[in-house]
Amino acid sequence: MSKTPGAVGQGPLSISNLYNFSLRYGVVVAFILLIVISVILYPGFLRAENLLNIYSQLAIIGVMSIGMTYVLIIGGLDMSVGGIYAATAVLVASLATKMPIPLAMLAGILLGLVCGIINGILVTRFRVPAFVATLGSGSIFTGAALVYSKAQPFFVYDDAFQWLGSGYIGMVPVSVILLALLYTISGVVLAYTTYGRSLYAIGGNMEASRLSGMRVNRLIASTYAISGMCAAISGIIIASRLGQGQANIGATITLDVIAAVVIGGTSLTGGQGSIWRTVIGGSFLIILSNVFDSLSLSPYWQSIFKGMIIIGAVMLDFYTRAKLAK
Amino acid sequence: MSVETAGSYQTSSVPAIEITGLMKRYGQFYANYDINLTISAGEIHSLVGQNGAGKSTLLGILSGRVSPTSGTVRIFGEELQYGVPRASARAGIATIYQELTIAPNLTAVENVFLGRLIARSGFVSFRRMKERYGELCRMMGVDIPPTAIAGELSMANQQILEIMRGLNRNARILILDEPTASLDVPERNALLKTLRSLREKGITIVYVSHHLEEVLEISDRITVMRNGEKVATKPREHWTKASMVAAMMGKEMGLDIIQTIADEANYEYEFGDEVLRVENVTIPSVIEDIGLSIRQGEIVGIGGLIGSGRTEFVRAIFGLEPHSSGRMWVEGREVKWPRGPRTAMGYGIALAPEDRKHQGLVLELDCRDNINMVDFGKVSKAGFYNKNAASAIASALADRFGLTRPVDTLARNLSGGNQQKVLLSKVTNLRPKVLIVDEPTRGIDIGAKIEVLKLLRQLASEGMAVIVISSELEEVVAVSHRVLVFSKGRLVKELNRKDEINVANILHHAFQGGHR
Repeated sequence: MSKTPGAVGQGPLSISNLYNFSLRYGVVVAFILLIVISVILYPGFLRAENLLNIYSQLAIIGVMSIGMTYVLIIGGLDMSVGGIYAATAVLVASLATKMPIPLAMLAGILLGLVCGIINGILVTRFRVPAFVATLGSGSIFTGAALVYSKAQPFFVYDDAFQWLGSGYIGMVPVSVILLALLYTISGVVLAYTTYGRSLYAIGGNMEASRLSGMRVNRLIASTYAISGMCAAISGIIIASRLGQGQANIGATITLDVIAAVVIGGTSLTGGQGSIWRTVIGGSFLIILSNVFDSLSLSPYWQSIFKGMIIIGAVMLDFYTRAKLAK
Repeated sequence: MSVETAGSYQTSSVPAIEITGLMKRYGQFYANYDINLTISAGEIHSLVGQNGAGKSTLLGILSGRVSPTSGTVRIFGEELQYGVPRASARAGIATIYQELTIAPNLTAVENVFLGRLIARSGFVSFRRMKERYGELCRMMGVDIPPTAIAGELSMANQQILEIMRGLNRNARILILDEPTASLDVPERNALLKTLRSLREKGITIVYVSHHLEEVLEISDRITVMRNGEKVATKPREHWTKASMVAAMMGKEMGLDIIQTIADEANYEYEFGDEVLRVENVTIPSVIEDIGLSIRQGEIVGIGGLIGSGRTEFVRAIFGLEPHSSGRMWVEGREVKWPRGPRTAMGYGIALAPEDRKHQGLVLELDCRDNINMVDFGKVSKAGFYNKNAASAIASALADRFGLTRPVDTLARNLSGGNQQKVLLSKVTNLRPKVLIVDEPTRGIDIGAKIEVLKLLRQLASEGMAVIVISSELEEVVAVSHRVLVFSKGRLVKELNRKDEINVANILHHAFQGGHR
């Protein structure tokens, strides 16, 4: 609706603006509520050690959710992150005993990059729908890890190898520092670079972006490559934390990663979302799971609630956009 | 005010639609303000007005998508249950939107009976459906094979299927929102004929269109709306195109300006050198061996019916038709035939595509991002997007194109006219040598239309070569220095002299074209 008669003053504090605001930032409100509940249940919740502990639990899902945010913003989906994560953990653990540790980790990141590029090519060049392409490739990556490891774990008994996953700098876990660093870099790239702007444009309208002369396929593929690398970094963190690499670790993690992103409010239909939302989504998920643990809720029930929360978040997203589009 | 005689319920004495004191408020805005309107049974009643005049809201209330804030709507004397699409359908209202809801892979019959298949003990009875389908076809005065695949039918026939679907559900009131926007002339005439035959069967029709000649041709009465209010309702004979435009705009202008633009075009222009020449442009079974040469400062219009290949021709020049072939010269130098928009843009060609919302703009981004997305590199340093630089560029272009909203407005929240201005800002951002605009005035109101046409003239006077496609032939005539007429994939006529560029001449050649 444009200019029409009887337009009353548009105060920033009108009821409808407040309503729209709370729809748009509903996740923030819910998050604050969750923190209040946590403090009531466990008065020491806000103490630094506790928060650092919680965020070291988030590190693995958190890093993967960064790549997933990029993929969702261009309107894609990456179901293969669990497979890449497991394959990388296996590869890095198996190599770490044979070569310098940084080199083994670099090889892991390269593996993630290659897997991601394969996804990108499947989706752009061969036009395989993202869901199917990545579900299939994820199964291949998991299978390859099982074949390579003969379903046996590779153990690494080396403190240097474990530093990344369970070491500390001062009182801060190394994995938390890494997570914070990656959140910051990826957030800045998405919000302030032309690369980030282009991703929003493509997710919002691929055809218009193509007609504007963007290298649409290349840009789409790049987000899968980023997602692959993020999954690989998470694979390295878990291998380092456990001191072993095993192929069966990625089974359910993909859903958690998608959950972190969509709970934050990044849209499944592309074009909208941001890293700060993913930070809040991931934090929400991990704190909730801590609350459940402290209430001694069984993992079976946790799985049920998690599923409900994801569906609810997506419902809210569609509802919000229908409301705001008016 | 009808008196019901016991036992016999006479629909003819009760108005089909009676709207009293209707108001609809969105936040602080009244989309409909105190509307009073009575539409008799068996009448074709048109609603006209600029975008944002409140037509869509009114249709939404009638069809049950929108609940009014206050006021009443009576359908054949009974108050409508508001905001419930099923209730509107039960009251006998069927709405046919511009975007059709045809299932393209189903047959014509299945589409008409969609959701209401006639079945006997669980089995679909195609025999009985075909009987009923035949009745509906006779009622509409059409003949569409029942087993035709809907997606392969013409747009007009798909629309007719949609109307039949409404009639099958015993609709007594048909609401048509811009039904002819995507139809060519013969299709449009066929549809209008069908509507007339429905009126004779006692069906009431509410008709919304930007196409004023058409409205004058078909309506019994016409209501003009402006800013959410009804301006006037009068029988067709009491309206002219000029008086409708005047009522829509609130002041006398509009057609005069189109005329002025046309008059200006009569001056002798000094064109510069040739900037673009294409020869032998062919897309197998679409267009054949078309050539074009255009000079600096020249506006070339392409006239032709929908399906004549005019859109495909410009898409090919912009590198969007993979099966196209041809030769191209830019400023006298032969270049490789473009195989993608990046190549074409590199040659200095820009295209404003016909479908603003799907091909032109990213609706979820603001105007600034939309205008700069043709080259984010220009407004960035070391990869970082410089918002201030981007705003400066966007504002400068938007000002010049007369955008009436700030550049940080989301494209979604703009009117059609403003969206078109953003699109033109975007495609001219890189200062192209050749600007191609496809249907630049589709779906925008008359005021914005005039502005867009003036802008094209202005760009040309600064030395840009402009190629214009429009279904509104008056506009092609008004704005072009030269007109190429396409028919069935061929260039059939080039109109050079001012005295031969007119609508009748374009239509004459467009309909004449050869066989294929």
